[in-house]
Amino acid sequence: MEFFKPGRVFDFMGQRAFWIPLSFILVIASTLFAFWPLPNVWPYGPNYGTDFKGGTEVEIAFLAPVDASGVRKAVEQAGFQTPDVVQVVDPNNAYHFLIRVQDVSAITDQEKDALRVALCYVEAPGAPLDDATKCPANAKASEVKFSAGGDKISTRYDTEPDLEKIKDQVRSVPGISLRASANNPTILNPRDHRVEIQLVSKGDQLMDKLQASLGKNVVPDKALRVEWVGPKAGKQLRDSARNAVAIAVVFIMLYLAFRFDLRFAPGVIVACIHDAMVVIGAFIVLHREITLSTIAAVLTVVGYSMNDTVVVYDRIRENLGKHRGKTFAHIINLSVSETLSRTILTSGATMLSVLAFFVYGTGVIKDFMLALVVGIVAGTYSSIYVAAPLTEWIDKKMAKRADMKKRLNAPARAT
Amino acid sequence: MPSKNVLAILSGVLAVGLLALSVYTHLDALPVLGATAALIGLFSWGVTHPGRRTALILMAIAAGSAALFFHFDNFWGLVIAGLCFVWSAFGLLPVMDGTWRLKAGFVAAVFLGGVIALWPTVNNLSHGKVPLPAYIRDRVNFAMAEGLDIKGGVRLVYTVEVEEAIRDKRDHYADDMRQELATSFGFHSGEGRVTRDELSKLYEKVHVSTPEAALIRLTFKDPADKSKLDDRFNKAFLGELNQTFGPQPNDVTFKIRADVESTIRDRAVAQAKDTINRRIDTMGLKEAAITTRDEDIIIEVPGIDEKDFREIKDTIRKTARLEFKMVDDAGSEKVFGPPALKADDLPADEGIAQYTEGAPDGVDGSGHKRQPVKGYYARMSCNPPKYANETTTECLGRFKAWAATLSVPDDHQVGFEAVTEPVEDTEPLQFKQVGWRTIYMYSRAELTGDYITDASIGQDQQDFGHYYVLLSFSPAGADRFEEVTGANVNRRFAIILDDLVDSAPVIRQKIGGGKATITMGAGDQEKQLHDAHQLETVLRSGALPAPIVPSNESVIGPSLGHDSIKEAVKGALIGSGLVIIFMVFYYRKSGVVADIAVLFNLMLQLAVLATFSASMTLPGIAGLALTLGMSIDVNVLINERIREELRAGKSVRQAVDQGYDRAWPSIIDGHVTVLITGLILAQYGTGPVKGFAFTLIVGILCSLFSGFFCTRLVFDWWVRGAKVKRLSVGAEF
Repeated sequence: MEFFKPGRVFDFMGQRAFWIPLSFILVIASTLFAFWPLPNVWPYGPNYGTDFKGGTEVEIAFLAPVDASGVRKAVEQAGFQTPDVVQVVDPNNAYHFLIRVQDVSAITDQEKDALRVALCYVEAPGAPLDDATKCPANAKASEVKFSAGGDKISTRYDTEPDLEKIKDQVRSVPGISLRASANNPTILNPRDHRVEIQLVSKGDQLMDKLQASLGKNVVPDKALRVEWVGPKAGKQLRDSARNAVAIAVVFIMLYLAFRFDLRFAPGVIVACIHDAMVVIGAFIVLHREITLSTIAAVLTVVGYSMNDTVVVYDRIRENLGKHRGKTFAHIINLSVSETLSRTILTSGATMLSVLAFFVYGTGVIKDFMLALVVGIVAGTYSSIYVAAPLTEWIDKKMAKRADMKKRLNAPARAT
Repeated sequence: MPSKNVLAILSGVLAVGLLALSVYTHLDALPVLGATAALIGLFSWGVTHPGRRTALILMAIAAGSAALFFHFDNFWGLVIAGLCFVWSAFGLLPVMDGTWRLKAGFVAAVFLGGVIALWPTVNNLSHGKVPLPAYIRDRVNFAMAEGLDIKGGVRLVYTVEVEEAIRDKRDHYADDMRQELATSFGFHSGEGRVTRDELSKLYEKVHVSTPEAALIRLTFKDPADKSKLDDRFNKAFLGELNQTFGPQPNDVTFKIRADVESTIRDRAVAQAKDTINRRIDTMGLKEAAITTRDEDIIIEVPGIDEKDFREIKDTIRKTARLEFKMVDDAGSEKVFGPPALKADDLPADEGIAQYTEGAPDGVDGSGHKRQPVKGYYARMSCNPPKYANETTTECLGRFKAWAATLSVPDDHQVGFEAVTEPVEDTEPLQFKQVGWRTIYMYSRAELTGDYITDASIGQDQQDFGHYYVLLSFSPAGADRFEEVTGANVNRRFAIILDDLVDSAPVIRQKIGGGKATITMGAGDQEKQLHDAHQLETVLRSGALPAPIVPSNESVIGPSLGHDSIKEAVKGALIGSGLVIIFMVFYYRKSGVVADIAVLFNLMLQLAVLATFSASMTLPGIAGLALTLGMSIDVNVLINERIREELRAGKSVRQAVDQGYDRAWPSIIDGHVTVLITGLILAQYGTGPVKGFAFTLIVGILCSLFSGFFCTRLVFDWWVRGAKVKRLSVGAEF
């Protein structure tokens, strides 16, 4: 069986005027989405998962039998994307679950500012702090801190604080509601008059919605624990990954410059960046959550793309030696055509295995596979329309420079 | 001739079978006799065939060493010898040429090795449906475990004792203040570190104490000296400390500011998380998840194997705080000697007694060693009749409680060191801990673990073969070490690990080069080696900024539901199935070869990952499915090239040779670029990135081996052994 009649040469480079600008637009758009999201102009931005941003962790002891997938479905219906639902083995509660949902910050920056003013921590225009009726000494915060998850405010006072007054102060801010609880706000530390004010958090909203969907006989009124948890991937991971990638780029360029020549080295790197950005861009546009698995998928795509590009390069190198005098564009056409059936076979086979996963997978797996599907298409495409044209362009520039040098040197030699 | 060959093969097979039977029946006479006869037949045939002689000799050597390894119960030695036996046995096959047989034997040996490495894993993943002989289970102590998302694991919650980090920072400030004040009073030049003599001069003028967690109090002898707290002093400290006068007229109190305090807290938790991450990274490819929550650190570890767990918990919990402090033997009398402590006053039944020792006391002005002084110390003998069943830790608790009743000056502290005794009739001599003793030392740390750049294990050849951990200091640390040892020749120097004195050697001379050792004391060799490994790991990963205490531990279920795991596995099977069918459809027999190579690749990858006890997560399985697609690329490249050569009219044999030759550059370049990426990500990445990189490296190497090396054997056999006229590569030429 054969896909193509051998010996046919397709004019790939003839269409580059269409494809190269498209690649440019895709990469620039993805970069903009990823690094400078402008929520007012553009509705898309990267959606980092709990792995990167942290989230709210809710521990619930359900009252009636439920299973992990049922809880997950209910949580997803409540509007939380890809939640972590884990059953905890607990002899006292047979249906003890731990649910981690994506953040969270229930308070916006404007609300934070309003709260600072309401708690008499900063002065608002036209409302001086020494107004004794609004800001008596026992309700005048000397420090206001918001928890990372936006569900707690901790304040400090110089004297024994008046909790009722503080409650009113918080309630006066529109959009903020206190969590209904017997001792809220509460004095955490009488020594330095530290007060903790609990607000309605994502966890509470989750409980309400779960109760609505699963029923009161299953979901208890109160969670065992609602807390904000930090991200799994911190600064350390990000820094180390960035350094590693930078060093890898340098070494790969060195290797290619050594095995092929200098013209080829940037093409592979640019193609990889192209593919990684396209995958991330697809995630942003499709509103998928970016998690640690996504990073693994992007790295896989980069590996795949690199291999694919090198195979095409290898043919170009071989044909450059065989067909002297032909234009670089023709050589590219020839090489891509010659390797085309291999390209289709390999990416087709890979795609087959990935697609099956994509169809049957759920949640995290589906997202992982989505990245790979997009990445394989991009990786195959980028070898032809990113890496090869870039090499051609560099070749032209270098030829021109060599030409110039020749022309500059020629008269000197003549005299 | 061929009949002779058949006889030889028969006798070979018979010999192997009967040998296995004789091992199985514990050397029953009949199979042993049969095996011997078969072996004699095989050898007599081999001797008459010069080409086979080498193989036979190698087989005999391999079998001999296998028997030796079996006798000494060295399992991996036995496996390697066995595999070598199989390898050389291939040399006897009456097919192809010597090189081919050598290669084929190697592939067979690798395959068998892979089977052994994967056996426990397969048993594990099939939930015992595939039987695992006890002999192998006891010896192959690694297997892939299902990850957190598939199987669940254990969730550990630790609380970082951030108060300790604050206290640490406060001590740091107090040290800086002493230095600054010593300079203001003119005792210290302002260059280098303040010496102990200068500090004792300062003590006459002002007393720096630390009454509470975030407090430092200066008590001046002369209130007028408060003027020493000049602009320079304020500039150095008031950025981070609040100053108040009082509570006594001569006092000035400094308190760490609230925002600085919360920064210290946050940083301590973040650092602890990073350190734990590093420690878990060094323990293999455990896909653990680590998060923080206020002052808690949550660690989720896959699997629930008790032994593994204890190891992880032990390693995580080690604070690994290392300090070097000077011992004050000459001053010990003031606390542990009469009249402060009289031997008669000691409680009789607690096991505490007063001891004296001849202790070195530094050098005099001209560099000669001073006469030893009488040093006093207290010693606790554990398990006195009243506490017959206590552990050494409980014993230490009692000792510490007693020591807290002593009045120790502010700038001194009491350290505790284990007392060991040799156990009789052990070879090499072993030591057992019998109690504790005090070491009276200055509380100022001369050097801390922050200056350590590396740690490695060594074994002392003289000192009863004790294991030790060798520490290397950074250049700054080495300078400090040299300076401290130079200034304290002929004094003792305590090495303190997690608040216990490990040893207190005498400084014989100035020590340059920046090396120090920590010796493993009690226990047999195995325990020492284990402890040394653990210490190496924790010292390399750095100390925790503050101790952590376990606050909760629970077993958790998988984070993915059974249904989604089932679906994903279905996806993996369907995907791989489609790829395999597609290859056969497109390339016919060559496609079958490619498929076998891919499956072999998969098996090798899993075997290698299993030896590292990697966790199997769903994204991991997905990654493997992808590798499957990618490793097919090698064979696609080769087959396409062979087709091209055939199309150009080459003979079958030439087409295969040139197809492989021409495909090689693109295969190797593609693989090397990916390998470079993998190596660098593995070197510089952490956590999941590192794990991914490792899988990538393994995948690349396996794919090169199975896709290129192994398939070549089949093609060679076709064109040279079977001498086919037409290659089945899916197209007619």
